[in-house]
Order: sequence, then structure tokens, then C-alpha cells
Amino acid sequence: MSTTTLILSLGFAVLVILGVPFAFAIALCVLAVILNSGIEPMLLPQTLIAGTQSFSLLAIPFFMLAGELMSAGGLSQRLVRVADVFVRHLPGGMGHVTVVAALVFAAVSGSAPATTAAIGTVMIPAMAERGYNKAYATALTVSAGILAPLIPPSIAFVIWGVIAEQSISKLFLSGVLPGLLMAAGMMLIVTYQAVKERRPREVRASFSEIKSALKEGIWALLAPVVILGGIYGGAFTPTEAAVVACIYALFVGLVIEKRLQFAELPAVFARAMSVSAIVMAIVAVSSGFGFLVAQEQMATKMAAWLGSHIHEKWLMLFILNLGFFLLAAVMDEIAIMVILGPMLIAIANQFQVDPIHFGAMIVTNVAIGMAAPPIGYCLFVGMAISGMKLYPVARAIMPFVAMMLVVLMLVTYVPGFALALVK
Amino acid sequence: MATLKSALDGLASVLQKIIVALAVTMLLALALQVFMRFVMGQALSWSEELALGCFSWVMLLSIALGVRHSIHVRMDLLIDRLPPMLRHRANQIIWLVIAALGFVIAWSGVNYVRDSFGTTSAAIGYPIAWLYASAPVSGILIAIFALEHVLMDKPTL
Repeated sequence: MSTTTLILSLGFAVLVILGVPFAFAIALCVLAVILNSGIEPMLLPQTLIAGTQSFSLLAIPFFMLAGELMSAGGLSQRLVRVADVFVRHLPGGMGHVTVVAALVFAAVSGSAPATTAAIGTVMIPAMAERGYNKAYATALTVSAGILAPLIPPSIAFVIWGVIAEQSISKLFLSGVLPGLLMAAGMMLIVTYQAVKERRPREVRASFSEIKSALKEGIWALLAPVVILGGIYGGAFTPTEAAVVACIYALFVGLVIEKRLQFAELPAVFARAMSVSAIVMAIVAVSSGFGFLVAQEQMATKMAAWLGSHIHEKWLMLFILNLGFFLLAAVMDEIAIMVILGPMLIAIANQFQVDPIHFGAMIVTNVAIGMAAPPIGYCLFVGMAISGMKLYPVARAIMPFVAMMLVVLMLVTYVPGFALALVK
Repeated sequence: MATLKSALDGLASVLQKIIVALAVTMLLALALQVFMRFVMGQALSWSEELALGCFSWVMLLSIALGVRHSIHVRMDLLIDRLPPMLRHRANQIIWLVIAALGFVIAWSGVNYVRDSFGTTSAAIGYPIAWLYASAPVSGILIAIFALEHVLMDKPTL
């Protein structure tokens, strides 16, 4: 193994384990290779510029901003209210409300932690108040949050589309059915829990209640129509759709509903940019890392080595899923995606996996990793909202994670499932 | 120490304002692009390039400001198990390494900018150095905010 390979693999692992933030660990490895092999140090600033000069990635801050603007305008409360009047009378009512509200929010927001935050701040206290177990309420909102990377728009799909050079609009579509099936799975678990606990059912909403909730929530409900209609009507690119979503949220919040204050805007913008920077730091430095990996042909060699030992496609895909799941227990999912991306793509090509189908499989893994203990963005957000410790939440989330893994198997081994909506 | 802290508070608040202004600019540029294409039926030549320029600046400044607010994700399973004083020292070393990285980005970034003198952007024709300057500026800010952690952070129990 060459020194460069050692630095990029072992060196990176050591830095991460020692607690260096992922983005800086990647940059430090790039620097170490530069010093070691006498490459021009300008590669480092060049990486930062090249990594941020992508029109597709520009969708990330705008989708973050759209979500922040809608939360600041009180959209999540109104979505919860709409969901409430339609599903609260089912067994486990509040749980269904959480899932349905998250599903609609996911069609506006592309970020899993943002969705958990938006729905969780409303639903976790509400569920606790009605006597639901708090750890269970937390586990449910954490799980519901991961619908966001699967239901378009999705930041994870934007990043994978850039890495794999695939159509982001097509990738978005491949996540729809897996996302909907996961939502159905969550509702099944919610129902089972309610029946097991013999939880009393809520009264069905009256017609006038439904009417008033719809009237209040109509602008929130139209947001996904504008965004997704714009992309699939062929009117906008995903980045432009994200811009239109921001303008829509600003217009509704400031002019129509007047629940958004002009004075709040700088803080909302700043927060959206800060959250985007967490993701973009990793993505930006990875372009330099990727360049060195490509130069060393690490990805192709690794793929060839794996390919020479594993001949069955089903076994290869199983190992990739298992590897991703285990790695996600210790590492940031976006970092896994950008660092291992070239190798994963080389393997997929070798086994002739459809690139869109493969993208759906990767992003399903990313989504699960965000909710699965011991680390995950959504998990941390949920714990911060409820003030619960890891252990009780980790226990409560197990049935949900098990269900997600079943969906992952379906996505992996039935290509037609993810691809059904992709033309 | 107190004056240093208030100076850095001032720097952070200026940065925040620049970030917001740039974010608004990139939003308006692309909103205008969509509007012109739909309503006026004409494509703008400069909007995408302007938005992308703002994007690099916004992200590189936010990444640097994020160092101050410790937004960058890391694996803390191991470091959190250390006794408080040792954990504090380990964190200081990590911040010091990040500061060094920031200086290298700043130094190599200045060379990168210098190399680009004379080149202009494709659509607007602005000097490309304006874009590239975001890298060394980000580098120096990363170094400053990382050093602030080294000097100012107290051990926590």
C-alpha cells in the first residue's frame, strides 16, 4: 500500500476517532498527502472553490432556507392541525398525526434533522401531555424525520446526484415509493402499539373542524404542489425550485398570512446558511480528497478487489448495505457518501446496477443512518427536543429501524420498486 | 482577554451580516432569473454566475464562522469518555491543528489568488481573483476562531 493510500484511509480513521470534525479530518488528510508527495499546496484552496462552484449544490442552502422560513411562519403547527383532523381518530391517533405531518413537511424540506425539529417541537410535548411514553414519542419523530431525504426534495439525493453525475430529478422520484412505504410502516407500528397498550381513541373531527383546519393550512399544503409541480412540470431545475420555494414562503409568511416578521428574517437566513455549511464543509473538502483517491486509483482497485472475491450481485449489494449500516454507526452519513462514493459507483458499474436504482439504495441507507443509534443527526435533534437520554430512545426506536431495514431490502432487491415512478 | 473576546464578537457579527447580505443577493439573482424566463421570456446571462460567486463566499464564510460556534460534526464517543482535564487538553490540541490548517489554507490561498490575476469570469467578466479570495479569507478566519477556542475554552465537567 502506498503512503498516500495509508494517509487517506488509516490516517483519516485515526483523526475521526480522536474527535477531529469530519470536514477538517478530510482536509488534514489532503494536506498530509500534499506534504508527503510534493503536490502543489494550492490544491487545498482550489478544492474549496471547486467544491462550492456547483449549481446543483446551490439547491442545498435554498431548501434549508425554505424549511426555516416555513417553520418561522408557523407552518409546521398548521400542518400538524391538518393531519390531526384527518387521522387522529385512528388507533394511536397522535402517532399517525406525527407521521402524516412529517410526510407533508418532507415534501417541502429536504433535510431530515430540520423535519424532526419542525415536527418534533410540536408533537413530542403534545404526545407527552396526552400520556404517551416520551422515549416512544421521541423515537417516532426521529423516524418520521428521515422521510425527508426520501420524499423529494432531498438534500441527500442532490449530493448523490452530483457525485454520481445522475439526474437529480430522476433520483428524487426513486425515493418516493420507499418513503411512502416507510411512512406506512411507521403507521403500522403506531397502530400496533396503541392496540397493545389499549389506548383510548380520540373523537373523529367534525366537518366544520376539517374545514377550518384546511382553510388555515391551505398555503402550507400548496407549498409541495408548487415545488414538485415546478420540477416535474419541467418548469424549473431543482435549484430553481428551491429558490421558488423560498420566495413562496417569504410571500406567504410576510404578505398573505403575516405571521413572519421582517425583523426575524436575518436570523432565519443566518441559521439556514449555518446549517448548510455543516453539510457543505464536508462536500467541499471532499472534492480534493476525491481527486487524490482517483489519482491513486484507490476506488477502482478496491472495487476490483471486492469484485474478484465476491461474484454474486445479491451478495455484493448485501455487503454494501451492511457496511454502510455499520459505518453509519460511527460516521457522518454525508461523509460516507462523498468519500466512498467513487468506490461504490465503481462497484455498481461492475455489477451493472442501474445508477438511479443504486442512488435510491444509497440514500435509503443515508436516511436510516440518520435515525439509527448510536449516532445520527435526527436522533440528536429528537433527544435535544425531548431531553431524553440515548438509551431509552435507542430502545424505543428499534422496531422502527427494523422496519426501515425491511424497506431497504425491498429497495435493494426489487429494482422495479424504486424505479416504478422513474420514466 | 476581555477585549479580545469583544473584538471577536464584533468580527463574528460583521461576518453574520455579510453572510445574510450575500444569501439575499443569491436568492434575488436566481429569483429574477426564473421571473425573467417565465414572464419576460428571456434568459439572463449573469444571474447564475453571480449566485454561484455568492454561494462560494457564503459557504466558506459560514464554515469559518461555524468553527466559532462548533457546528462541525465530529465523533465524540471517545473524547467524551476522557476525564475533564484530559478532554480539555485533547480538544485544545484539535483546535490547534485546525488553526494550523486554516493558516495553510490562507497562505496557499493567497498564492492561488495571485496566480489568477488577469483572468476574468466567463459571463460577467469580473476578476476571478474576487471569487478565489474567499478561500484565503476563510482560511484566516478558521485559524482565528480555532485559536480563540485554544485560548478561551474552559474545561467542562
